This record gives sequence, structure tokens and C-alpha cells, in this order.
Amino acid sequence: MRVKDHPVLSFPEREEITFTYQGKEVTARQGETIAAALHNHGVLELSKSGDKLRPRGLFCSIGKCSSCLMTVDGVPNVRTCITLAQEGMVVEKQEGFPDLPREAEPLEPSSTETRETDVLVIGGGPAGLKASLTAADAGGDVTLVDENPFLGGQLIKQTHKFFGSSDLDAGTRGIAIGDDLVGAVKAHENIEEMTGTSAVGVYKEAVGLYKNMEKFVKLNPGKLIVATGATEKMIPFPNNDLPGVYGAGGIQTLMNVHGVKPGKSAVIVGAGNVGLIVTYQLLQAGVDVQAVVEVAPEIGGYFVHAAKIRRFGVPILTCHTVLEVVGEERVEGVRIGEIDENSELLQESTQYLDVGIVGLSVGLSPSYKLLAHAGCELQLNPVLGGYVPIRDQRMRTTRDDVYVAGDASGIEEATSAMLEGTIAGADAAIELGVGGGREEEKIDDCLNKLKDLRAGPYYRELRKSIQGVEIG
Amino acid sequence: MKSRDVIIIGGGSTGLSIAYYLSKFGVDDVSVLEMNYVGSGSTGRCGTGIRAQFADEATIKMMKHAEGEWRELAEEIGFEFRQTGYLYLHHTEEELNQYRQIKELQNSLGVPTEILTPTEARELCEPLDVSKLTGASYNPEDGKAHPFEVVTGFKKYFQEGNVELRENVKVVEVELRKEGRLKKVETADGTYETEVLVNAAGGWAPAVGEMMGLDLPVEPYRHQAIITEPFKPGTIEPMVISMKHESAYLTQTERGGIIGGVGTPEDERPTYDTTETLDFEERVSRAFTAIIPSLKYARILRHWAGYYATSPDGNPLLGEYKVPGHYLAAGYSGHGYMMAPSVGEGIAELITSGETELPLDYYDPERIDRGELRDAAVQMG
Ligand SMILES: Cc1cc2nc3c(=O)[nH]c(=O)nc-3n(C[C@H](O)[C@H](O)[C@H](O)COP(=O)(O)OP(=O)(O)OC[C@H]3O[C@@H](n4cnc5c(N)ncnc54)[C@H](O)[C@@H]3O)c2cc1C
Ligand SMILES: Cc1cc2nc3c(=O)[nH]c(=O)nc-3n(C[C@H](O)[C@H](O)[C@H](O)COP(=O)(O)OP(=O)(O)OC[C@H]3O[C@@H](n4cnc5c(N)ncnc54)[C@H](O)[C@@H]3O)c2cc1C
Repeated sequence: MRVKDHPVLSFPEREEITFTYQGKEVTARQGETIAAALHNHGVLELSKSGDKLRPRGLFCSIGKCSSCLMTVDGVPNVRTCITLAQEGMVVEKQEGFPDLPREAEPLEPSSTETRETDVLVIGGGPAGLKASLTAADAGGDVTLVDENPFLGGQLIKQTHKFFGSSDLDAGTRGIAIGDDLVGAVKAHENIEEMTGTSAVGVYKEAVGLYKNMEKFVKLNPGKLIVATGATEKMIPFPNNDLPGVYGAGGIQTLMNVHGVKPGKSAVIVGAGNVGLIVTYQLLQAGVDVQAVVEVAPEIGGYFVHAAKIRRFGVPILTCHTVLEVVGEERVEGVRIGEIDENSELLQESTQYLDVGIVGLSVGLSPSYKLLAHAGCELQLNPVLGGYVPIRDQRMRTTRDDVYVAGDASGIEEATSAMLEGTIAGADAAIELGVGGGREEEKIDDCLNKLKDLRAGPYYRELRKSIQGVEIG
Repeated sequence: MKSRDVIIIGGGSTGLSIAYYLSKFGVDDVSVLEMNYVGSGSTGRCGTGIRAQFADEATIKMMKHAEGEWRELAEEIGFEFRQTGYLYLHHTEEELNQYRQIKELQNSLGVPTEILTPTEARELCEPLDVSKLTGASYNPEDGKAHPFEVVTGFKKYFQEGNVELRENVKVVEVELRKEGRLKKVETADGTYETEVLVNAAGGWAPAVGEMMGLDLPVEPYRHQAIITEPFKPGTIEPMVISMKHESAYLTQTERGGIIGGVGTPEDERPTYDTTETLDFEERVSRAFTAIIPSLKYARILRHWAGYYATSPDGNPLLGEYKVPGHYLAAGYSGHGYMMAPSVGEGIAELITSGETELPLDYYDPERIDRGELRDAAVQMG
């Protein structure tokens, strides 16, 4: 099901390609992921889980949750949410853990490669894009890797105008900022971009990069900037694993990147900014959102976002939670109910909503694993979303050649991610001897902007938490 | 101060097994002191493999006996010992002939090893590339057991019996009497009086030895292993060994992950560093994909390192050593997990009766002082 008549986005016709799914031919648009293409044809169930053979569908859509694994051209466990559909591909559903193929060509000796770079940036979201541009502008050689087929991270699906202060891109749509940054990165002669490439470990000898299941690159950077973003959180309720339960970012990818409508009707869980924005975007894409449920007594997100969706008549039900998802093979409906101040369910309040989509917007947690592997000291910090690295104001972790920026350093937003990325990129350049006074100025400027951004009572907890993980 | 008949330092496969057999023989007044948690040393990091395919009489006897005990232990304390065999791949006529001779020795000691053709080897493990093989050795009685199932099995068993197992209790000092006998053991949390002390501290055995003024000939060598994402279980049942490919060993766990590793490089020095290396990941990938090409599709999920606590001749040091009442059980050099039942039974017999029918005298630690080094046992997995 395609999105039609979107008020902000247009999805121009692109070349069609054909691949096979379970032996049948299906079409896809050029540049579309396998999972998005299948979704468009109504295929929600991508596999059966390993142990219990439960149906599994798309969830995060950014390569982090492994709910979309399929066998592609005989290769098992391919993340179909970040793998582009290609002409003639053979895509198969996995029923439980996949079979290890019985035959294969031997591994080519050329399958590994050793390289060096001044600055390696892992993650091409707003933080990584800014870090790359800043270090490259200073004259450093930058390698930017991202495991998605395109750069931009979570930014390229933000069709709404940004919140925040006026000189910090507020009022501009996220996608527009994303397009600008990605364009600048692609045009920059000091930046080598490697998409479809996963960083799998930060070893003493080098960083291990895995490119398109084909090549293993051992990259030895002068400085490493980890800008891996965040993973969407999940909450427990019966059937929370059925196809049709998505992370908010996953829904955005389907609708706003690929122009695929996730379904006809939805319930959104969580009334923070992300939940409210996704609700509005679903409405824009023509999806009927029946309710936003929020377990807290108050709406967490901004008033403007809440007001916008109320105008569409979508109720925001505070003190409400999901009791269960109903369905065998996919979401067929959801039972919700109200809870009192002791977290007890008010029995008479339960209601059944007939929807095919349950969108979870219950927070994100920083993708810290590479930092842990690098030996950076971490701290568990609930306000920042989970484990975050200890760092100084210049985003240096406890390993002086490793920086962090963006959501990986604690969940905030794209604006702070860009500022932190700039700081990390500038400091890395200075430390490497390519940056100088101009980079110092950039750092000062960004530090001031971060201060402004985090000012005000709304951010008191956040400020305290950030101070708690900052050293030096 | 508590008084115990026997204090065992170390809650790995060695210490737990010795405690088990002591309690079987009626010595209930036993404490196992573990500075971390059970299995946190090399045991929980091991490759799960259990085999009787060795090349020397003593080790074959120890392991033939151990496999019988593993079967009974599995029943009694509740874990799975899956006898899916060890499959040694041979790549030259010379290697094949050498293993034919070893097979004769193994057969004469009751180990039913067979020599297989490459096609027969492939029947046991379909994804294997057998095109360059001259043959394979296979003992169907060899197998594997998951170390965490084993240590938690022991733990539960002790909870129901009388053995005291204490985790997060580190032994920091050992006090001897004037005449040189043991007096007490000091821990970070309490003191024990004892006349019998078992040093089952794995890679840390030298530190425990030092507490008694002993310089033990054991050195820790880092050894790494990996496990991949799961595939349909039952695809790689035997432990597959290829000496040609850096002494690689690999098999599939019950859940479906492919676990294994390659040998320690020649230039590796003793170390307590357990950081995993990219070099290992590359070597293991090359070796594994040469043995089973389709493993190039398998992603490594976890990669870790532990110790091979190594003795000068590559064989364990087992028995009473220098301080009366001090029993050493360490220095396996890479195959200490599989031996645990025989070591446990043998040491428990030495403690209770002073003798055992198992060939423990072959592993008498004093051989090193006497300069009688044994041939190194075949190592890996
Ligand atoms: C629904 C929604 C609405 C939002 N609305 C706003 C808003 O209005 N205003 C605002 O300021 N912010 C908003 N945000 C938040 C904002 O999108 C994020 O804070 C921002 O994108 C974080 O940027 P980042 O660069 O740290 O990470 P991301 O944008 O998450 O990018 C991380 C990138 O790293 C890559 N990566 C991760 N691990 C690896 C690896 N091992 N190897 C290679 N690549 C890897 C990923 O593929 C990804 O592309 C919203 C977020 C969501 C989900
Ligand atoms: C990667 C790898 C793969 C392997 N594969 C195999 C295999 O397939 N088959 C096989 O048979 N063997 C294998 N081995 C070898 C095997 O793991 C060891 O030989 C065996 O586990 C040794 O057991 P242990 O109980 O003697 O030592 P450990 O398991 O190391 O136990 C010693 C314990 O003593 C404790 N300790 C130390 N000092 C003190 C103190 N002062 N106070 C209190 N507690 C203390 C430690 O915390 C530790 O838990 C492998 C090893 C590695 C590292």
C-alpha cells in the first residue's frame, strides 16, 4: 500500500525492479529496501522466530533489532530493513533458525583489507554527518561508515518542522537539514563514505568493518568518533512481538523514506514528542489513528504537537496502557485500559480497539556497544536512556582517541546531536594537528548553543544527568 | 573460625568435581571458595569439548574413564552430555597413517575410534568441504557439554547436600604451622582452619601457591573463542578438528550457535590479559571457512578469551605437592574441562585413601622438579 497525496512529501515514480519472494515475482521501486517492498505488497510476516516459531515482522527499520532477518540469494540472516531490493534477488522466509547452506564458494583471499584514516566516524546520522564535515573542513581525511544503504540516520524521516531555538534550524524540516548535510558530505573531497558497512568491533589493533557481507576492512584511525545513535525500546505485554507492532522510527522509515503506508489504523503508545510527531505523520499519510495511550498522568511532549493531533480528533489517553495485542499472525487489535495511582488496572475502563498497527514510542536507549568494546568507561543513566560513556565537554571518552556524539552519548535530539558532532569533529582535528583557531571557535560556539538548548526548567533533569557523566 | 576437613580454592570444573567426589566418598565437611562466581574462570569460557582421542596411554585412560563418568554425572546432576563424537580431519597420507597408529592404541584401551573415508566424514557433517581430505578419525563416544549447565548442576547438587559452596569469596592468605603443615586459610570474608587444601585455581594457581611460598610451574596463556549466530541445530554435530588449519576446533551448540577457536600463536607470551584480538577473529574466520565454506555467511556474535593454564610439558599437575595436605590440580594446558570427572575422582581418592587406580602418578607435579617431562598431550578443544 503506497502513500498517496502526502502534504509534505512526494514520491516520484521510480524505475521498477522485480525480485522473487517465496518463488513468486514481486515488484519494488529502485532504492527501496526488501522489507519495505514486501510491506507494500502486504507481506508483514518476514520470518518465524528461532526457538518458538513466532511470527516476526519489521520493528526498528534501521538495522538494530534483527526482527526482519530473511534469507537472500542463499545468504541467511540478512537484515532486510537495511538491504535494498535488487533485480532478480531471491528472497526467502526463514522458518526458525535458518539452515546453514551445504555448499558455498571458498572465501576469497582478497576479502580482507587494511587501511588507515585520520578520523573514522561510525554512524551517518546528524551527529556523524556534522562530525565528518567539521573534521574534513579542517583538512583531515575522514572515513564515514553507516550500515544503512543511505546516510542521514533518523533525520531523513523527520518531515515535520523542528522544534528548538530559532538559530538552531528550528522551523526547518528535518528532511531538509538531512538533505543539506548529506549533500555536503557527498561533495566533500576529504570524506570517504562507506554505506552498507557495519562496524563490528573496536579492537586494539584496528576497528573492524564489515562491508556488504563481502569485505572485512581493518581500519586504523587516528581518532574514532562513535555516533551510532540509539535503539528503540520495547515494553512487555502479550504479543508485543507480532508483526504490526513497530517502533516509532520504524513507522517513519516505511512512510517517509519509502512512501509505504504501514496499515489502515493505529494506536500509538507513548505521548512524548516522538509519539506525538509520529501520530501526526501517520495522519498525514492517511492512516486512522484511534488513540495515543500514555501511562503517565501527563503528556510528555510539547503542547503544540499535542494540540495538532487533537485537532484531528485523536484522543490522548493519559494514565492508560496497553494490556495486550490480539492476533495470531499479525496485530488484529489491541486492548487498552486505565490505571490508578497505584498502577492497578480499573477493570471497567478496558476497551478493545480494532487496529492493525501498534506504534511504540516508549523511548530510546543509546547504542553503546562499540564504546563498551573499546573499553570506554560507561555509566547507567536512566534520564539519558541507558548506558552512556563518561566524557568531557569536548565529547572525549575515557579513551583519549575515542569520541562520542549524538544519541549514543545520551538521548536528546537532532539539534544537540549536530552540535556534539561538530565539537567532536573539531576537537579530533585539533588533536591530530590539522585543526586550529577556527575549530576552537566552532567548539566555543557549539558549547554555547548547547547551553542555550538545554536551558529552562523542562531540561533540568537532563542537565543534571549530563553533568553526572561529564568529567574534566 | 570455622574448621573444615577440606578447603577447595576455585569453583571451576576442577574444584566442583573434586568436591562432588569427596562428598560421594563420605567427606561432607568440604568448602569450595570461589572468588567470583562458578564457572567464571576458564571453565565458563571453554569450547565445551570432551574427547578420549589422545595419543598417550595415561591421557587416553583418564579420558576413557572420564567419558563414563560424564554420562553418569549428566544423569545425576542434570545436564546434557551429548555424545556426538570428535571428528579429526586428515589432509595427507602421512597424517592419516599417523592417526591409524593412534587409533590402534586408542582401540587397545577400549576407545572405539574408527578411520572414516572423506565421504563418510561428510555424512556426519554435511556442510563440510571434504574435497581435500584423505580421511578422518572419529570416536562416537566423544562429545560436548555446556559448561554453565554443568556448573549450575553442581551448584544445585551441593545445595541439596552438605558441600558448602561460597561465591564472591577470595582466598587471600594461607598460613602454615611451624612444622610445615597447613593451619588456616584466610579469605576476604572469614577464616577457615583446615589440614587439607586443594589448589584448583586454574590460571591463578601460582598466586595460591605463592601464599604457601611455592613457585608453581603454571603459566596463563590467553586462549580465545567465538560463537556465531544460531543456525538450525543438528547441522554440525561432531566436534570437528583440523590440525592443518591452525588446530581449529568447531562444533554447534544445542541452541544452534557455532562455537570454537584456533590454536594459540607460537609467539604468544604468558599473560593475564583477556582482551580479544582482531587477529584471532581473522585467523578463526579463515580456518573455519576453509573447513566449512558456508560459514562465511555466519556472523560472529560473541568473542572472548580465557586461559590455558599451562605446565612445562603440557600435561596437568595433579597430586599432593610439597606442603603436606596441599593438593594441586591445575596446569591442564587446554583440556582441563573434559578431564574434570577423572581428576575429581582421583584427587578425592588420594585425599581419602592415599591411592587411586587412575593413572594420577603420571601427572605427579614433582616430575617437573625431577626433570621428567612427559610428551605433550595433543592439544586443542
Ligand atoms: C520519531 C522521531 C521524531 C523525532 N523528532 C525530532 C525533532 O523534531 N527534533 C529533533 O531535534 N530531534 C528529533 N528526533 C531525534 C533525532 O532524530 C535524533 O536525536 C537524532 O537523529 C540522533 O542523531 P544521531 O546522529 O546521534 O543518531 P541517528 O540519527 O540514530 O544515526 C545513527 C546512525 O548510525 C548508524 N549505525 C549504528 N550502529 C552502526 C554500526 N555498528 N556500524 C555502522 N553504522 C552504524 C545507523 O545506521 C544510523 O544511520 C526524533 C526522533 C524520532 C525517532
Ligand atoms: C577458549 C577456551 C576453550 C577451551 N576449550 C576446552 C575444551 O573444549 N575442552 C576442555 O576440556 N578444555 C577446554 N579449555 C580448557 C578448560 O577451560 C580449562 O582447562 C578448565 O576449565 C580448567 O578448569 P579449572 O577449574 O581448573 O579452572 P578455572 O575454570 O579457571 O577455575 C579456577 C577458579 O578459581 C578461582 N580462583 C582463583 N584464585 C582464587 C582465589 N584466590 N580465591 C578464590 N577463588 C579463586 C577463579 O575465579 C576460577 O573460577 C578451554 C579453555 C579456553 C580458554
